[in-house]
Amino acid sequence: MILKNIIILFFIHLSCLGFAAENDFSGTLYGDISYGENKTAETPSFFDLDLDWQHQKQDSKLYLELNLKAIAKEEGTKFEYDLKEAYWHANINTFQYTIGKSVLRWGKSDLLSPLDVWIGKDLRYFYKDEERSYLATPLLITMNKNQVNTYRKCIRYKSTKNKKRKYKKKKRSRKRNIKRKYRTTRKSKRKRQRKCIKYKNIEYITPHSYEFVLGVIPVTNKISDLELDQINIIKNEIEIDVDNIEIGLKYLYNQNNWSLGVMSFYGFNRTPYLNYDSSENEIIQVYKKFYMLGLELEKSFDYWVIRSDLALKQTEENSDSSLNDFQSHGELVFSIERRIGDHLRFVLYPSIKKHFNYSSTEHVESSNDYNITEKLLYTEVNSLIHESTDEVIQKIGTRLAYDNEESGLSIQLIVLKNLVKKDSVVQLDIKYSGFSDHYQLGAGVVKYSGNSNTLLGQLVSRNAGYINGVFWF
Amino acid sequence: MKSLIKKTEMFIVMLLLSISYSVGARSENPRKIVQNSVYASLIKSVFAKEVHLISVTKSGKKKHKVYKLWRKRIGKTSLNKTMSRFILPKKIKGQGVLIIESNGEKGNEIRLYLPAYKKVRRIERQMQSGSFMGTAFSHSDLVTHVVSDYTYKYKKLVKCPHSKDIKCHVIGNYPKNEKIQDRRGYHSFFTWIRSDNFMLEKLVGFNNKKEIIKKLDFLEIIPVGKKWFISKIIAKDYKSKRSATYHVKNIDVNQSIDDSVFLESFLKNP
Repeated sequence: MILKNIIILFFIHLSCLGFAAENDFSGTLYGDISYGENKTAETPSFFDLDLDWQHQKQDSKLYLELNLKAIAKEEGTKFEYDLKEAYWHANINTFQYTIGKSVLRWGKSDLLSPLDVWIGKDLRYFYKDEERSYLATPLLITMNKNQVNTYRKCIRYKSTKNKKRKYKKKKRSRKRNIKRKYRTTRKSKRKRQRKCIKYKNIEYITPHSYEFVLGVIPVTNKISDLELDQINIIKNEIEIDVDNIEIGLKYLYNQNNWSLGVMSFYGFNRTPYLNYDSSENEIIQVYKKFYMLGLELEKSFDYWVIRSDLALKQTEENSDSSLNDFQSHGELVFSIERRIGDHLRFVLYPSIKKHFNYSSTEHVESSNDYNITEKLLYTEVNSLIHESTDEVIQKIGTRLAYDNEESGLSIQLIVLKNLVKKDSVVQLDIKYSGFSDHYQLGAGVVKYSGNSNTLLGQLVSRNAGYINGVFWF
Repeated sequence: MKSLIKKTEMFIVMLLLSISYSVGARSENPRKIVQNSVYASLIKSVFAKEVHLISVTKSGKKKHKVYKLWRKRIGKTSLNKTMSRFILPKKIKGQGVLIIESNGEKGNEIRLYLPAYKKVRRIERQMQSGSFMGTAFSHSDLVTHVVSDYTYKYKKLVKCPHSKDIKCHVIGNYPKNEKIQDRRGYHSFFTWIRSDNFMLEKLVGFNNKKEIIKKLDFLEIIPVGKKWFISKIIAKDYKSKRSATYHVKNIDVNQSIDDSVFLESFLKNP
């Protein structure tokens, strides 16, 4: 905590320097006022101030982003501050290094990628304002081996003129006796023996790139933000330990119009589980570790772009595994994007999730292996937030966007529907920035629907209309 | 009698001269002129600290964007790869556009980086005819002309529209197929190419009804060794009734640019 405060003070100091010394300093002031049935508790109005500072020096840069938030709550205004990102980045030869707190995104499909394992999502804002909901990994070390390789090419050889003459004389005298085969071997041997006196490094681009990531989750519970007003949760802080290290590897093959990525991950699920601690008789928030194998694909055609993400996730075996553990599953998201005319864009996202070793709600409720609290947590919370209410879950999402850069108007309609449980969310978002490049006004509606035993149905109390404004400086 | 012979001789000479002139004009190889034009502006690498993109909307409202530009020739081809990173306005600060040119069926590859989402996205190939950052320019207006994608017709030799004391070749460019036509955004277009250094002076694009849909005026060129760099272009879009100016300032042509600048990793994290 002290370290965090020191970093923030350092950041404010640098920001002041940024104004004075024309360093790269920028910021965003964002205000959002919501009008819902339960305005203060479920759909809070808030102000967000993002301050970014960047210092670039040749091949390296230092980047800091501080977020200050004021949230209007029933009990009064709540202030939060968070160092959203703070990292050092460098390009050294054909490698890129990033060290610090940063947002790393995997996967190609935008809204629902199951491969997006390195970020937490602030679930208070996820469906309403996707780009504000990303939470960085507290300490991330990434090493990228990019696509550029070099080889040494000889551009000047040592002169072999005299040798050539001698060789020719010898050759003439022995001409009749030397066999053809023998001659060719001598020739090639002579070629190999030529000495290079000047080299040049030649760069070439390969289609291959590699990424190695190490993540550390130190003392923090901010890897995801979950608020459930009905349940009093004891937030379980993770302590620095070897067990808190996460590891990821990614290989990406890039070609002219397509790319294919293969990745593996071993680390924490950013969305917590609520577990019952019988010894203390309390509900605790737990982050579980899992393994993931993933595949991403992106291909552009003349009028279409297709993207696909596939993930296989398996929970880590441990002794205290219980009903409410992470369930192993496979998830596939496919998206098709098409531009219509100059300003319209349409995206369709069908997705499917299949659970292995599935425990149905009926099975859990009738089982004697679990106590009432465990059953309740499974059926009321964990199976909902981790979307394991059914063995197979099919969803479909669409995004229809109108964007007119000239007039400054953009309209977006997002629909997401679970085809099994029929719960859904619809968002209409309108933004206008026609009067200036510094300001933007927006308005929109978010409407959730579905039964109370569904994920989106649980959020019905958050149905709201909103207005917002952004100022960039 | 002598005067009659002289007059006849004069007439024959005049006739021969006029025939040779018209044959000469017709025999100009339009493809070769276009090829020379492409090669005249083919520079190994360019880094521009500031590219100003000023667009004026139908209602007269001005919008100003500034970005950094890196451009490098791909091997020994006539194609380029270009990286653009936006600096102003702050709303789009950090946004990157990577264009890797390609000829034939493949078309150019365009990738966008959106800092708000921290993601790189590929764009469909036909997007190249679409507006570049909401201006009157399209992506394909700002990339290298692929000679083999078009058939050409030599039109005439006229005074250049901007350099009045120099003659310009007017050449009709016709896309070979519908895909190329869609990608370029014109059914056909005429180009005015200077006869002295083969640099473009003007481009007029037509739709399938042969109506003018866009005009590009190439106003400034900078000598770079034996080659030329186009530093100022004005575009007028007749369809949307808007105009735009593309002005490159602070260019550095001597600095060698690493290939790593044109990779997805650099697009994400400059």
